[in-house]
Amino acid sequence: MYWYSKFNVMLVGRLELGRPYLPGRCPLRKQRSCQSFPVSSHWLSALCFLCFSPVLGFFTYAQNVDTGIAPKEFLKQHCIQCHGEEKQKGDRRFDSLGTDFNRDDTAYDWQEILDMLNLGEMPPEEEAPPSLKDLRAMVSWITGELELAYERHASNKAPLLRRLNRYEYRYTIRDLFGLNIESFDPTDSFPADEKFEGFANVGEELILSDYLLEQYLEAASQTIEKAIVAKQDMTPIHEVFTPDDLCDRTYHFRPQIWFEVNVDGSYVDVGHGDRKSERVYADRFEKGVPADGYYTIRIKSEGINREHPYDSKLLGIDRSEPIKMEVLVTDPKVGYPGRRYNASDRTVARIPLLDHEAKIYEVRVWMDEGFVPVIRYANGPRPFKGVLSRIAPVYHREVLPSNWRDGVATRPAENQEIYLSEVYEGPRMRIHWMEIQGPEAGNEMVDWLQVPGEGSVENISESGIERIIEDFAFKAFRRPSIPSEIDRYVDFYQKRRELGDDAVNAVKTVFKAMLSSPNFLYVETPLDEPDENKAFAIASRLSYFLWSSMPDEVLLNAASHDRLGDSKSIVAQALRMLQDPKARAFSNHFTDSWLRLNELGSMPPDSKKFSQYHDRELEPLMKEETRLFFEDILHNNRSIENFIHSDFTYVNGYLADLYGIEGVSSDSFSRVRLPANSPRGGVLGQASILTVTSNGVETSPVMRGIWVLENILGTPPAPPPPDVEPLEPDIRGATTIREQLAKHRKVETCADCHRKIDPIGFALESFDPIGSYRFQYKDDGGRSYSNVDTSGTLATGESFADVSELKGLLLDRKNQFARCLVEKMLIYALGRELHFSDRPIVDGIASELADRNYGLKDLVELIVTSEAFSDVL
Amino acid sequence: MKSNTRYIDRRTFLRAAGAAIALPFLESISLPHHLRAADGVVREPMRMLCVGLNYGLYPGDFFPKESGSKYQLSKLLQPLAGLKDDFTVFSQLDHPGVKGGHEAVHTFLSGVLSKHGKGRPEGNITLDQKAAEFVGSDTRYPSLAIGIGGGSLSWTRNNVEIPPITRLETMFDALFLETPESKRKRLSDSNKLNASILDIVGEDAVALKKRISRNDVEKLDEYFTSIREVEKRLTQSEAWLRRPKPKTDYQLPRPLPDDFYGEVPVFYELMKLALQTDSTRIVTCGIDGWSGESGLPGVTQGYHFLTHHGHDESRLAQLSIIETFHTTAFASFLEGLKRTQISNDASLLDKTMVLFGSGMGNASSHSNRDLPLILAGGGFNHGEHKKYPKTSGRQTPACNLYVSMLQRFGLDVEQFGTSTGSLDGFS
Repeated sequence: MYWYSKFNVMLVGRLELGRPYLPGRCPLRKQRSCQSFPVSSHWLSALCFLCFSPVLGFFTYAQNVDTGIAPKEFLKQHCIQCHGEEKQKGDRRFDSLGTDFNRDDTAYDWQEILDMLNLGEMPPEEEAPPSLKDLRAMVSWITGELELAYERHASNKAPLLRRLNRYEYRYTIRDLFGLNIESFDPTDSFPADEKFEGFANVGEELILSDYLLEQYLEAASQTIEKAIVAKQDMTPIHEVFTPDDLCDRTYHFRPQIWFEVNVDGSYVDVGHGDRKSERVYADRFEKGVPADGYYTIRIKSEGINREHPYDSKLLGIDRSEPIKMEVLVTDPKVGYPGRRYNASDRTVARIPLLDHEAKIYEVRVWMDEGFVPVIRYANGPRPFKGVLSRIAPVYHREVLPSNWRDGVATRPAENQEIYLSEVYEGPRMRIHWMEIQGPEAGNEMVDWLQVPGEGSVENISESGIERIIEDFAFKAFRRPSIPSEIDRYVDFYQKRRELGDDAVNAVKTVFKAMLSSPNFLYVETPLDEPDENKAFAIASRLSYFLWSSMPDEVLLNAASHDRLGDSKSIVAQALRMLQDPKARAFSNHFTDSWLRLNELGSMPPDSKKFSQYHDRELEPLMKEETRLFFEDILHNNRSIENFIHSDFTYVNGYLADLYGIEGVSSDSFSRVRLPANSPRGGVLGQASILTVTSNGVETSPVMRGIWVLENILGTPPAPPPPDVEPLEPDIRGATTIREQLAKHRKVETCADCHRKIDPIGFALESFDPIGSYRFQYKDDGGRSYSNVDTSGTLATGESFADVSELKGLLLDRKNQFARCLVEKMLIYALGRELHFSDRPIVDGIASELADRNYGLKDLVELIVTSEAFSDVL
Repeated sequence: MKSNTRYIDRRTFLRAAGAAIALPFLESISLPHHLRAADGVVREPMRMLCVGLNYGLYPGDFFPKESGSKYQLSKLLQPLAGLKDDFTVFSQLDHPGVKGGHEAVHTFLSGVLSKHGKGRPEGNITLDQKAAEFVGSDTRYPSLAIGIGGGSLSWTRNNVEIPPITRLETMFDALFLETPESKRKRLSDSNKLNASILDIVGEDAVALKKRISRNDVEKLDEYFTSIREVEKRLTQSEAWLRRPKPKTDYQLPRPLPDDFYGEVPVFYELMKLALQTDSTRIVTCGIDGWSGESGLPGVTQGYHFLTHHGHDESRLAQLSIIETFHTTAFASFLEGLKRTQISNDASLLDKTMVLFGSGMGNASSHSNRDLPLILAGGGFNHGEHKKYPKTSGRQTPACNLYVSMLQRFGLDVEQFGTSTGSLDGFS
């Protein structure tokens, strides 16, 4: 009773009611949503009365469904005029709405009406308001009916079977076998996972297709071959590569284009930073390292001519930055390592070099068998051909042969006597030598072929084999196995032996089959015994929520022994797991999903206009800022208000540069305190969000406005009506986007939503498409044609001058934001869409979160201890 | 610098490539039974190829003004002047209800957004995959999906985007590189092994089905269906493993082109060879853009940037260079098909329906209305610009054209995607 009363107060008492849930799968409804932001002011007084009158509180009515109001009459008086047979504003029609709350769509509509009434958004300002008495009776009646409906729905369970998504698969095989997956990725041919509102772990969306099953077979095979290797004695290598190994000293044709030069065998100079061009690599090492393992790479190198006589603009690089050496490992089977990047490249270090002072640098790196080390000049001029063709005519006319512009001539010009490489005085990275040593002894791999006390698979009894299979099944299926399963796999083992496989191969085949079994591929597969079932389902749920991977030994033990039966033990596990480095998966993938950062890069910024985005590889840095920021809030249990506004963020040198923050130059990230007048702070000041809400060419107040409504306020606008054509920008008259949108809002069908969307976007116009601060709009030639105007007025009437003031208004709605975040994290934690019947749970968590002062870690605790989290198959 | 790498002038290799392609060496193709009529006469099978541009084509340069057969070629259609009777250009067809700008471009061949696919019996299956299901195992590859600089155009009925071939070498090897005997043996063993694994895990699934709730049965059915499909596929692959691949004199240019300008024509050549050798009868090619330099003379700005032209003259001029490049490459591809006789009375173009267009109607406004569409070959009556104005407020679905294509392809269908029938006045 207590619970229901509380939720009843919640339901009626909170101003910030969010979007109602969708009953089941109903594609047409999917797009629909109420627009409960912002709160219309003329209703506030009435609502305050409603909210703060607990004596007349509605839970007294809740038991009494018959409140004397005629709901249909109320609708007729106040709603049907705009939502009836003639007009269906906002795509909503209520004249045929019944009162059978057993029907999902009916209950859904009433929920929405309740939200609108509670928010005071409807009826709209221009219509006569209902009497307070009618309103109270109506709210109470709907609330009571909904309560009963929730109760009925609670027994109607949501589907829970969901397959591993791509990243979960990868982390799971990492933990199952102790594999290093820095380079190894058996999932790279998996089709992309379909997402639900940005979330790539929602079961309903994760289809298991025949195409994917084929990939599963292949991935299982690759994984087993990699992970199950018989112990062998490996003689470590120690190779030293001289300049002659790294670069031919023979005659060089056109060094000005390729600019990787070995003059006399004492060093190699590299003048370019082109990703597409030559890299320092020893051809004779094409076989690569002999085995998976950790290797030490040492390189003696220095920076040359950071101070140079050329115009910096011609070179296009920043003199104040040290010359940086990038060390990569790459797979020669995928692409020739000495030229261009390829998909197997992995950057393992980026090292600022001393100027004219050779030093030995050492990095310890994981390398897969066959991989080779490669060096490139990380921040050199690019594209180098263009740079040199700008420099040569100005500074070195003597080197220009008759055909110097012809980049692909087949032989040198006869009159070419001096090479640019001989007279070039620009910056270079100089490599004296490179050596590689390893692998180190031992590794972290799980030895699945050993049975403790019995020995290796080749010489153990049949019961030993059974034990191997059972142990593996326990981990791979994340629960105790069912005897018939083990029998099946033991039989399979016997059959393979009869067909001629040796013991090792037969076990490998059995493992491969188990990795293709639904028991491995679906996150939770039920057991018959309810307590045991629940314990292991919760264990899997916890670990896929916080680690995106399988439970570890400790968690499985907890499930076996104390059954994770109470909140205390679940919270203890969650807190332990958050401390584990594997919890990085949570900050990575949750921010990716909630903030849609998994779409970053799908519309890459223009390579000319925003060259630094590409040259400095800002994309991963942008994500990193948001992830570190999230982790800071999480681990310190700071208030979620920080997502709206904070006095700190994380930057490295390049991001600091983008933001105009002084005093940070390192490649690694540090926490910086933001001055009070900074436009940064909160996610709305972060380049990741500002970039993902742009289309790569220009900013769109509409996209940014919608993003805030969806992901901060939890009130996505309805999609545009079908008969309205989108805006086509015309820049000839140099009109601003603001002026164009003003025109758009004059169209009646557009105005309703755009008055909510556009103003929010205007506040963010001070940030360009990659999140840099701007005062003016500029044309293609870099000339400014208009000042940025960030002021706006919310549909509720509050005005703001800029993003800081907007954030103030958003903070006023922090309960609404809290509810939005609760929904988002619940979707992520449960791996499913939220339904109508989840509503009380969201309300409960949001209310409790407010009581606990909005701490993010508290939110995680509330989620894992919520009823929905323990609701298992 | 590597002394073992040779650099050749691009123009030289294009000439060389062209020469090699003019006279490909073709082995005789053994035709499947259903193409032999009772009288023993061999019927040439129909092929289908679809090219989709991610950014559409600037409507002002693409759509001709007049309709009918006496229309003047628009600026972008100029390169197709010599083929005017071999293609039809369509106006005002699109996918009703589909919008979303870039996010809706993937509906080009399906008419259905991927997120809406789930509720539909055939998901958001694309035109080519529908046709590929019909071809089945008659060819080594039921279909090939290519993606130049981006994703593929092809989606299966299960809502899965088929990952595209993105590299020239992958495509060439798929068509011509003979699998060595040792690998063939390994693949064959692995097929057998996989079949036995599917038996075992199928039993796991049956056992699981008894323990799950009713709500989850549908989800698990995906697994059962997949097992059946993969089993079928393993059998087919086993059969093709034993048959040799066709041979060709064509060689990939060395070094491989490293920009868009060089790459696109070579992909077209490989597509032609794929059809010509009957390695597949269905090819799709999504053309997105480039990273770094395009290699297109006169193009200094990014492709996406230029599509946001805002009617600025200089941006439109550069955009036009890119788009003319597309229609020129397409025209020479069609000419190649037309030159290739595959029977006494038919050229490869007669037996290949070639669709060229985009799911984007106007990139500048992110509109998915009025898609640019050209259909060439396939034995249709061509030579016109056909307009389909709205009738009583409803536009004609582009899927109607797809129904006509599928029917010509041999399928007994009345409906596809969002169609309301076949395309009026076109046969």
